[in-house]
Amino acid sequence: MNLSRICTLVDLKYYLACALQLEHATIPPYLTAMYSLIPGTNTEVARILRVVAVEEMLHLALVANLLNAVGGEPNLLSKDFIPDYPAYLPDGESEFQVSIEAFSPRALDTFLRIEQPSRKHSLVEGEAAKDRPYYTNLRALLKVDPNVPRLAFDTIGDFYEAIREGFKYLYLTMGPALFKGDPARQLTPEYYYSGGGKLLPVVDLRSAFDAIQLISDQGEGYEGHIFGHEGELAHYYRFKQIQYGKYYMKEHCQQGHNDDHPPTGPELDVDFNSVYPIKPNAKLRDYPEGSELRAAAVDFAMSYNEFLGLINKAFNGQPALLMESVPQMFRLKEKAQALVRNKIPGMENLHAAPIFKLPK
Amino acid sequence: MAYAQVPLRNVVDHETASKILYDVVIVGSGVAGAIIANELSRNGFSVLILEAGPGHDFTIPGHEKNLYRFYSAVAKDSNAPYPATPNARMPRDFETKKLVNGAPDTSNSYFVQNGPFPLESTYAKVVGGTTMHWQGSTPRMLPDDFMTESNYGQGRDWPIGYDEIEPYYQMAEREMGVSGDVESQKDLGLRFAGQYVYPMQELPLSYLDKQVSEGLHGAQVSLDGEIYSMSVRTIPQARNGVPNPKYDEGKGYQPVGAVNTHQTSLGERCQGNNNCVPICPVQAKYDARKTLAKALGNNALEKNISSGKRIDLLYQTVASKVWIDPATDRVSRISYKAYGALQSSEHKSGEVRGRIFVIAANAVETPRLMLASGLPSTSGLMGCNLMDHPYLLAWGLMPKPAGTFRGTQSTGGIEELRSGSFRRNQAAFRVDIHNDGWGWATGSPYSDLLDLVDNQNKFSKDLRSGLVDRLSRQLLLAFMVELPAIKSNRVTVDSRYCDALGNERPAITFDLPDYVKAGLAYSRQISRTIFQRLGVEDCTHYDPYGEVGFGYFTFAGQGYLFRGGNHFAGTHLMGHSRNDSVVNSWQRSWDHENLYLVGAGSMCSIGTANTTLTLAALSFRSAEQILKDLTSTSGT
Amino acid sequence: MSGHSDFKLFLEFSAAITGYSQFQLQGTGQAELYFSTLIEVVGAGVVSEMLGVYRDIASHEYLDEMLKQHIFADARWGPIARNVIKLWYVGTWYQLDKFPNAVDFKRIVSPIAYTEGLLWRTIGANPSGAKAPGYGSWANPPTIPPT
Ligand SMILES: Cc1cc2nc3c(=O)[nH]c(=O)nc-3n(C[C@H](O)[C@H](O)[C@H](O)COP(=O)(O)OP(=O)(O)OC[C@H]3O[C@@H](n4cnc5c(N)ncnc54)[C@H](O)[C@@H]3O)c2cc1C
Ligand code: SF4
Repeated sequence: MNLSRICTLVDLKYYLACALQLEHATIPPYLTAMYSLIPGTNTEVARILRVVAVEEMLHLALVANLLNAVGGEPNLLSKDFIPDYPAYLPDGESEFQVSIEAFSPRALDTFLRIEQPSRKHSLVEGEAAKDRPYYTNLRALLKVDPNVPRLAFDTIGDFYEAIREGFKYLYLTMGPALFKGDPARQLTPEYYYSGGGKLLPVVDLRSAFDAIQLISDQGEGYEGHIFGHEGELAHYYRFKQIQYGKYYMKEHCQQGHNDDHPPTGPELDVDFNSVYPIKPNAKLRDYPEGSELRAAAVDFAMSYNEFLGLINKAFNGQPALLMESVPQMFRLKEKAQALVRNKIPGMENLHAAPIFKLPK
Repeated sequence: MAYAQVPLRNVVDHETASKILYDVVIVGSGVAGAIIANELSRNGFSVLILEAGPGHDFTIPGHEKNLYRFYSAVAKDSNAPYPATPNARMPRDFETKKLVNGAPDTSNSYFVQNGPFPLESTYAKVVGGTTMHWQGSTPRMLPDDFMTESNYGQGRDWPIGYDEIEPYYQMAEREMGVSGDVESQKDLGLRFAGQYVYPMQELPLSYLDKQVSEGLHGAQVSLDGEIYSMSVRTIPQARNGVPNPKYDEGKGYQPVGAVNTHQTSLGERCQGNNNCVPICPVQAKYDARKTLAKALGNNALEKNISSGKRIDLLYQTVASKVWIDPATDRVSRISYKAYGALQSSEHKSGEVRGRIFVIAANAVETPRLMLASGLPSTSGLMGCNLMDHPYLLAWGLMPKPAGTFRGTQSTGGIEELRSGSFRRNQAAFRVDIHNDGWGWATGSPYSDLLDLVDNQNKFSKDLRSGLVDRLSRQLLLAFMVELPAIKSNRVTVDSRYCDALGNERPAITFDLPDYVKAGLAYSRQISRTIFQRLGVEDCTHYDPYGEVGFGYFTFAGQGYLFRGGNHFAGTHLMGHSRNDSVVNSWQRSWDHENLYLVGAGSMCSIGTANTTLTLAALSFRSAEQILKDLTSTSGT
Repeated sequence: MSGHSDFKLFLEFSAAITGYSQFQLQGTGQAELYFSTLIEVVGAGVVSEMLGVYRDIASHEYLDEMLKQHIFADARWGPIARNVIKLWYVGTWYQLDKFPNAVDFKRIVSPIAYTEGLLWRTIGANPSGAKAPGYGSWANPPTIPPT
């Protein structure tokens, strides 16, 4: 298997399976940061985090569509699908890790790194990427089989660029036969709860490109610009707004503006102190045996897994179930909020945090 | 879902605006004004909107402030979320009091209540108008409703019929993003063009609706020799649901999300917040700011930039007088009073000019402004024929928990008795099944909590099971009864009673004819039949001395109580000539060629349909005519 | 406030009279606010005294009976205890005395307190305008949490 370029349908499916994992991996950290906010404070931050999390769900669904389109079978239930947070680097060569933690300047920094725009738009060869700063980030998120060489891309944008190239290449060799998946497995717009983008069914090369474009636009911006194709603010810049405590003004942002142009709009209230001090990357063993707290943490994890189970069904032939996942998501929030408002006994002033994955 | 993003740039100030001759000046930023504004500005004409209320909630934090104001309010009336100011007062239902010895209530409530029934209906004064707190039910009027005078000898016929309005109903349904099921509406005698479907699929019936539906199964009543069988069907409503892929000949529908300035919120599909009145926290419910956002976005249109045609909005700006040029009988200008601080009556006066003027201030405020300007119209009907839907409430407890207090406030209704030959003798009605329990009737759930804790001495687990027993079984049926146009029901002004800015307050004179009382009484009878079928414990009681006792009346020896319906209409109704009506079928004033009075005030009847869909349809129709006027006179 | 010596006892007491566990009560995030509201209106001394009465009966086998006798039927403690229940259930302080004063008047103690009222979760619903259950959820039977 060549892991810096997609040469076969098997490669493509593998990449897409990784993409599913990647898109999902950002959801627990974003959700947790949102849960940690004290209600009535940081309301704009809460909304931004929510928009991003909801759009990550959209990306997840779009990747499922891509995978289904080529006859693959999305699987959100495999053993390693949920990362073991913090997602340390396998070789420990970087400081950078993704954690389940309260909203803080550090967490924000991590989010920015996750959504970091791609600086170049061509495929990066594995070896060349070795010493790039964000290479490890992605590799950490993509908990690929340690026995095979790793995917190696600078940024998430580059990774999707490779998928795009893969579609193009395979279409040249296979023609329409590439899209042999059952169209009935596609998730269509009416099932998607909300969001700036549309849940596009993928049935041919055109729609595959559109779906990929939407994912990378929403994440890091269209070619790194602040506002995407459809005039939508990219995730990276949404987070930048929090960092600056200011909104971007579309009318002040020109094509080509990027990171070097700070936002010029009205103030956005950010209060890093109005946050429940939850224990970073809490584990079940942090909660006393037999306590209601522990039971609640287990309950949350089980509910989260049920939630993934439901989505998995939606991705595998029962698209209408996607709508039912929404009430479940709301209930998750209720459960998480009860956790973060309770102190962990014996841990001074640390509060409990949701756990997404139970120990075996 | 699309962002309804509001561009913030180039907000106009009063001084600049007063120097511009706008193509159109609109009073009121409610749904009627917003639709006209968008239609005209998107076609390249300049528009100025005057809005009496505050306008800070285009931003998400602004909207959130309203939400938190609602959370904190002890009296959660429909205006609780919105900033109150004595300079542009909103009627508050809790201000309504029983008249003492039948004397008018001129006290401090916004409405001067002449009686005999004081009316508790309200509206909002804020950018977006009353749609900010409307419930969002959008049934169409029945073809029959347009001809009640000819068909039943009641009220007044319209100068136009259902089929003329049908295409505009479609536009209104698109604008407001209506969810509904066309097939079940067709059963009621509604005609829809071609393969029409609503933009979005019907909202699911609530569990409570389904319990009622099962219990009703096949229930029949006989009235005036005809048999009606009752069933539960979904209410068409303007809130984001699941887009119908069949809409627009298979092109589908893109719902409009939350109004905001910085993409901080997408808006949502309806989540069942059960709070459409008074504020939808996630903006799933349509409100007129969504149309205003589009309208203000027209400033970015290439053609408008190059022609210098702008659309501007001035809020906290109360239109105080409409001036007529005696030589031409045309409106020459409108005076306004603009205030800064909400709690200070300090203000600046000024005037604005336009080629055409549109008053879209709602069916109470529009005639109020006209009458205060000394313009009762040739027919003298300005302010007359005030209509509203009186509601009769009936409530009881379902045999087992039915999950009340969940969902949108109403998802299902019983509509078979909206028309029939009985309308010669008694008013028709439609029934809403309320998902929000007895709140409207009794102040539930708070009243139940207090009763359980204070009187029944419940605590701990007993309290919990007591609450389930008392709340989760609640069923409230709201019977919306038609009220025909009656000249003596009216809005007037009286210079003795003014608000903080010196504008005359509206005075309401309102009575119910026996025709309507018979409909209300029959509603009560039907509610008993329904409760009997369902095995519901009937808890309805009408207290003449209670807080809302002002709506109490007796009919054929029995006591009843009606509630206000918030559907003001009829006060500048349309007709065939300047002698029988105030406006023509395009809502143009008979007396003043360049003046349009737009809104439910133009309606000759309201049948058993909430008024907003119809008034929105009429607004689209008027916009077409105004476009023609502007085009034919452009250059002159 | 959470460091206040009576706070723990207040939570325990609240759990006994509301029928919700301390974890659930803390889960609303409002415990400290309710405690401080109570102290603000009736005074720390009175609160302490009442909680002392509770402490003496807290481990009794028939706690509910004891609560009726020593708290709810007591002319001093009954009205306060009933008010504490209402605080938890609808986030509202109901005026205790016949005449309002600067601290004793009917109010929702904070916007969030309204949204965290226990009343709604008791019946498997959401406070109107907050904590929405999600599209279409209303079509299913309510999930009423077991007591
Ligand atoms: C609680 C409630 C529930 C409702 N539910 C429904 C429902 O389910 N379905 C339905 O169809 N209808 C419903 N309605 C009615 C519906 O809200 C109104 O019919 C509709 O919003 C009216 O729109 P409008 O644009 O004509 O007037 P409005 O929305 O009232 O707008 C008029 C605007 O003009 C402004 N204004 C007034 N006077 C002046 C002045 N002198 N100068 C400048 N500005 C001025 C006001 O501030 C206001 O913003 C409900 C109403 C209420 C109160
Ligand atoms: S039920 Fe809730 S979410 Fe739905 S429209 Fe009403 S307030 Fe909005």
